Amino acid sequence: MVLPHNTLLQISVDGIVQGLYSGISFGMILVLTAAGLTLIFGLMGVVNFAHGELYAAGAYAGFVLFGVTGNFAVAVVAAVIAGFAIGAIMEVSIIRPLYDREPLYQLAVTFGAAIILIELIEVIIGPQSQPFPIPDLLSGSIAVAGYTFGTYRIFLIVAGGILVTALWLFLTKSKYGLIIRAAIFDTEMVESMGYDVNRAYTFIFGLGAAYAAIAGVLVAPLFGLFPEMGAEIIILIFVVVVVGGLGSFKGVIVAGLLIGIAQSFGQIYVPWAAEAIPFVLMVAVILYRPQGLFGVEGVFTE
Amino acid sequence: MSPLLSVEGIDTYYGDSHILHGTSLEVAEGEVVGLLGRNGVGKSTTLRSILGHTPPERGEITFRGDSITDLKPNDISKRGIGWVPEDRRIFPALTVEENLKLARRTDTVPFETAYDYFPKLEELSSSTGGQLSGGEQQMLAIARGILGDFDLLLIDEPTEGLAPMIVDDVVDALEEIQSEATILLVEQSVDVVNALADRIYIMDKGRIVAETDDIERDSELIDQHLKVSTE
Repeated sequence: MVLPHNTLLQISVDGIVQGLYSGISFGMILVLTAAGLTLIFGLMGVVNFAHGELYAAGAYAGFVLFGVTGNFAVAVVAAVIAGFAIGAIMEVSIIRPLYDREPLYQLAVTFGAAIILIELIEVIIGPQSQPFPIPDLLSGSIAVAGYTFGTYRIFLIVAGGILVTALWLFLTKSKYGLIIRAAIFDTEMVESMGYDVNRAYTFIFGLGAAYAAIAGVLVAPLFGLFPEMGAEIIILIFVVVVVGGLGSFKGVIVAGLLIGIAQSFGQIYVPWAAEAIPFVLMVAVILYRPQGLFGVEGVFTE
Repeated sequence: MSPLLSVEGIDTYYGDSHILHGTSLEVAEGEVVGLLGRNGVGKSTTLRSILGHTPPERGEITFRGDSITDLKPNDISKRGIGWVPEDRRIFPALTVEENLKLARRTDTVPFETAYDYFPKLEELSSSTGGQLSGGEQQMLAIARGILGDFDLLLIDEPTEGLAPMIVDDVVDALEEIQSEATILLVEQSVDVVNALADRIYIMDKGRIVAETDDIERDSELIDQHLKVSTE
């Protein structure tokens, strides 16, 4: 971003504009990834430690297809398909047999799945970092009110907003969304209304994974790819989910953007402490509002 | 003619606890059958076994002559068996309208039917399930059962915990429904069963211990087995 003026006041305004712009675009990545994690937790009570690797899997699936076709849209579609498929297979094969067990079993098995996915990426693609070029169409910049913004980050904000809105509309306006919101509270009752809750579980696990995978492929042109990229972001994603309130979709949106913006401002004004800001926020929320900003005693809410 | 529902000698367990001991009962099409018994004798477990939520380990359950013993709850529901559960099980974050939309699996029963039976629900259509009183939740639970267009409704303790005036409203609604539905009604109140049921099974310690089609005639028998108030 180019700073147009040089006064102290202007630097402050520039800092605010830059902090918001970078923070919202990265916050959207956090929201997209955390939305899947909180949805899976809200519906199934499963804390999926492999969720970060689904984000990485999406980035790598997109990377491979982008390498073959050179088309970013194809790369995004590949990420969605790969994320949904891996998530759905995970739910059916290793999560479903453990629903009646204590949560520790699910933690252990998803942690194992995370390690396996990282190793698979290293074996198939290689352990080194990979660059992912910004698509030509999105590689320029846009000038607004004297400020210059990178087109790709603007694209991230718009695409993230559309995807989050689509997920919200799906959950609140569609019959299937109604089934899912009801099943969060009472699976037996939903089953006795004739709906297949197991199918809903598989679908939601796949959908949550697909959202993480989209986030992975969207962030790749900014930061590149590396096998542990999922393990790196998952900590921040857990912070978002805890701050927003476990299982709260609204909480994830607010907390994701809040943490993205807070970290971005931190990098501008207190770079030595920027990494710690999300965790300070989390500690404050845990101390003063343990259920999170929008959590209702751990129950999924809109 | 075979009964609509037949439960034949089922044994059901919760973990190691043996709850139902060879329980058998039948419900014919168009009948309202009462299942009376004290707390904890296995009435709700009988319903849960029929619904597939706690499947029996022995015995057989047939519906329209087909075995449903090993079917999943959603498949049993699709066969035409609906449930109005004991504690209402309203989805608390969904509105009244959303609760009803979810329950309406087919277009056969018009949506407005729910409001015809319970006009108050229309006023509360935008309220969430969690905001309703106990009586309003019971109306909603029964309305969900109606909109489900089931061939058989299993209704569990519909008057439990309700104020006497609300009990009258619920019984009135059930009387209206019974002319068009087949119902297996679990109750502790002899008065409610007396008002609604064509035939009554009495349950004790996981077994059917008596059956009567005339509760007035057999009231001594019922008192002997149930030791419940008939007030």
